[in-house]
Amino acid sequence: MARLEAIRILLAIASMLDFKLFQMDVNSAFLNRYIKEEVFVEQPPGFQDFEFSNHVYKLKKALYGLKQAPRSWYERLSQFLIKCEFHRGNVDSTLFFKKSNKDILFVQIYVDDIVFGSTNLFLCKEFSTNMQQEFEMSMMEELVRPEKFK
Amino acid sequence: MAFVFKIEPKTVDDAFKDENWYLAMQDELNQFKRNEVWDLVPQHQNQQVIGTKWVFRNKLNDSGCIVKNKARLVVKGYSKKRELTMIKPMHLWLG
Repeated sequence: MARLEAIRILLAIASMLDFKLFQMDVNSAFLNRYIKEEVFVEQPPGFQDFEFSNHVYKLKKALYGLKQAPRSWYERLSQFLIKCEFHRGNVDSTLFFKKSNKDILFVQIYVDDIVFGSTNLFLCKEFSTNMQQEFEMSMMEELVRPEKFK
Repeated sequence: MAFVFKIEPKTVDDAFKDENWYLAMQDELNQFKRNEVWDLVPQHQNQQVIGTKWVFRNKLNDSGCIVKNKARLVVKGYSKKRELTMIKPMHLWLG
């Protein structure tokens, strides 16, 4: 799990090296992967089946709040990144980076949000395209502070 | 969605009083159907069944205006690690 400190350090590095950070998130990240364990959950409050009110739902994919959820998403994502020749941070395992010539691309995973930045804008665009091809992702947006936090 | 409801309901009963929140819950369940999230099966004895709960949040845009009523179905009390629920206090809904 990403620590807030790690995000702050990334923000600091970005402002020091003067590069822009971008953000993208995964649409229903937690639903992307099938779970191996047998998990049964109650029918949703207010939406119980009239005919089968005693039935329960057997999960095929993870739901929010399930402890398997963040982990299985993280596993799938990190496998993909490593395949794309990223290195995983030794201290913070949710920080990935990739060097290419003189440039470097940082990718910080924050549950279903991904914050990334590079000394070379092209690397960011390339990363964004790759991610969109592999996962159901939102477009990359520049990371800005929402109005209410200014 | 043209109209959104400002108050985030605390209970499912409150949510049922407003059409937008009702639609938000249906959206979530439709998404489960599309993604093949679960199957309805008969309950067996000695089977651990985890409770579910609705969480209602307004999604804001960059200027802080409500753009969407989002209902999310979550499982209760299975996640023992506090950090998982605590680490992303605002981001979860704004992101």
